[in-house]
Amino acid sequence: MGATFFIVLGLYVAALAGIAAWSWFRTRTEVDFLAAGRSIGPVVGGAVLAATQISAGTFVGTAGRHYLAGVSWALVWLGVWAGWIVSALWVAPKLRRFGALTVPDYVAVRFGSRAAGGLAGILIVVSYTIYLVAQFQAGGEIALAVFGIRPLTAMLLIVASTALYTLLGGVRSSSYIEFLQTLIMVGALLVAVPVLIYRVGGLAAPLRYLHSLDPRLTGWFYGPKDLIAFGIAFGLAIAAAPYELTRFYSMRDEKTVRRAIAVCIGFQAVIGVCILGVGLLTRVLFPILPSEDQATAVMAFEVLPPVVGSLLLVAMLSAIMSTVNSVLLVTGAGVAHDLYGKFVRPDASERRLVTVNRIAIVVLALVPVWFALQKLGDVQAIVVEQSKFIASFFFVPVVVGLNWRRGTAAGAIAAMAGGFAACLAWELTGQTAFSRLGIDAVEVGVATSLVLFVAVSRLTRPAPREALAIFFD
Amino acid sequence: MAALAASAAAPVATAPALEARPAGAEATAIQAPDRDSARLAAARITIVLAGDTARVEAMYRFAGGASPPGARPLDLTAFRLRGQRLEAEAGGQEGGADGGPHPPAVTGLPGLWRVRLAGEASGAAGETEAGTGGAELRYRVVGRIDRIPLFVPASRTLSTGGRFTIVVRNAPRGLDPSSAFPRFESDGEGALVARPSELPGFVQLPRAGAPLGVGTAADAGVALSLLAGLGGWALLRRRTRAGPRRGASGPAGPSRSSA
Repeated sequence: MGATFFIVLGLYVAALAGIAAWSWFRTRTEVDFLAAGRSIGPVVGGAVLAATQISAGTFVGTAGRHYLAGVSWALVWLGVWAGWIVSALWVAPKLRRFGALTVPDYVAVRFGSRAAGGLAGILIVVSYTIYLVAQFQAGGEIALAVFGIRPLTAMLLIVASTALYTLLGGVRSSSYIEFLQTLIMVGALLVAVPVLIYRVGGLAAPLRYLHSLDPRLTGWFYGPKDLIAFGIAFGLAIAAAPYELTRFYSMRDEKTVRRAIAVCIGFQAVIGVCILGVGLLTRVLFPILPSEDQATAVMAFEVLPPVVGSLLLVAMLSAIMSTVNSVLLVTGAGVAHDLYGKFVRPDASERRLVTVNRIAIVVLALVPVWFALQKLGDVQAIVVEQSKFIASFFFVPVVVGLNWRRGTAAGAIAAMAGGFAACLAWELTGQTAFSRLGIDAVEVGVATSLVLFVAVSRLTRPAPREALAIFFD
Repeated sequence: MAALAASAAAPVATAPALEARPAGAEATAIQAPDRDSARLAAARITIVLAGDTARVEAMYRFAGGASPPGARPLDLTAFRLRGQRLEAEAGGQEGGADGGPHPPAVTGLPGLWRVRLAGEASGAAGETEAGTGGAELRYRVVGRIDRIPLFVPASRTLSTGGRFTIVVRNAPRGLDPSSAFPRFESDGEGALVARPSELPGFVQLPRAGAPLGVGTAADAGVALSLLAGLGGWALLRRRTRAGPRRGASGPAGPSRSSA
């Protein structure tokens, strides 16, 4: 399989290089770089949304959870899709109509405050830099587990290849590359699952086996409280995730955005069902792996035929790359567009902003590598924690702010800072001190953010009428 | 694949036990660390086929536990398929009871076989060094033998590279070893040998002479589905472009650069 993998990888990298080069020649302005000239259609847009959210957490973490805990973890997808539906109904169309380039743009304009936009930019850069740690760590572990490559080497290779196509073509190249990545993910999984079913001789015997091994594997491993907490973390984070929201700006119009979300849910449903199958059937094929996080990699290498196995491994790497790419676009824009362009050099030219953006992408890609080498936690844990923080500081200003005209700049700043602090404090102390309550940090963070947003907004002067017109009139 | 086995040693130090607990206060830490349990370090499985019977001899080595593995009973489970009968012939643990004149009892549950090798009853208990030990089980599978169940212990594996060996003797003539699970190679002396990175739950030996192997079909399938996906998208894009062109630029927002 070694030679086949490198051939498949070579073809994939060639395709990436081709798309990046094509995009380079079509990227002239900041709108081209950050919003693909607002030309993305529903199919590519849906695939982009799916690829952006499907990360190492899905291929490594989610498959591992199914391997370990069985079917019930799949219910977390309901939270994810609820988040998409909230986004489709109350967030995406308004943001697309607004037509900005970044989410802090929206915050600054909606609340008539550059300070609120700046705070949003800083929180985005910090939280997504942490998120990159999980992605690089997963990439390093896969490369180490399958090929014996040192994690640092693998991480630098991921940084180099991802940063290259991000730098060259911005959102345009990443959109078409993520479309290709989604096709690879779905194609490889759609073929892998029937192969696994063939290997285990159907579905009935494996399900009986898993049930006898531990009835919770086919029933309720997680209780309702746990599933609700996970669902809230993922769902609220999806509804307000800046790296997803910025993708709406690149689509043609509001109708395209809604259709793209429907396409995205379709892709994710297929991927979710397949990942469930991968986790469960790998438990039957290899019942005692040293770590559940190895389930997909071992299955791809040991069970699947060479081309399918190689494609699945490439899909896993591409899932990491697409998420890294999306995060780099958001954090790079946070530094260049929202901080440098607004506070440091407001008179900077378009060309200079794109250059600063590209430099920021390189720097922000390298910083998390050091943290990833320290192994601060397991991949899925970092992904879940990051989702909790995003939901805690961004859900209320974005979703409530888009639908409640009385929200003010002071309310938004209090909601972002308070939600972030409450989530962090509960993670550090409250979760242990009040463990009998069974309340998760994301619930505390979002509730605090909401209370502060409403209370402080009520106590302060409303945003200027002209600032609200584009969102509410 | 050797790299896979060798490198997997890293997670062992912190690898939690297979018995998971539901998420509670620490929702993301779904497993309780169990440093006391020995890990499966190696296994050698020999399968001899004869007609509708497969005779299996499985030898296991454990490492990493805080107490001698033979001090406690050892439970092993296997994947159970319809149309199969399974009879244990002999089994025991190093440092544990030898099982006496009777073979260990096999319990049949829906989809699952379970066998327990007794612990510490004999005078040998405690003689093995803490953290190391072995076990052996011999059994016969009768009836349908296209998938031969392998008993696996409840503990996780300890990956140190090339520890699992499966040998099949008297395999059907014409069987393509690479189409079996796990992947086998002929040893040149009439036996098939597999060295998977992890211990599988069963061995699958597809019938010989199938016109198209599942691997080839799957590889072709994925290539075709990718081409179909790309082709479908290209057609859709062409049709969209042929129609009336929608506004490629969205309404300008108040942002300086999008204006």
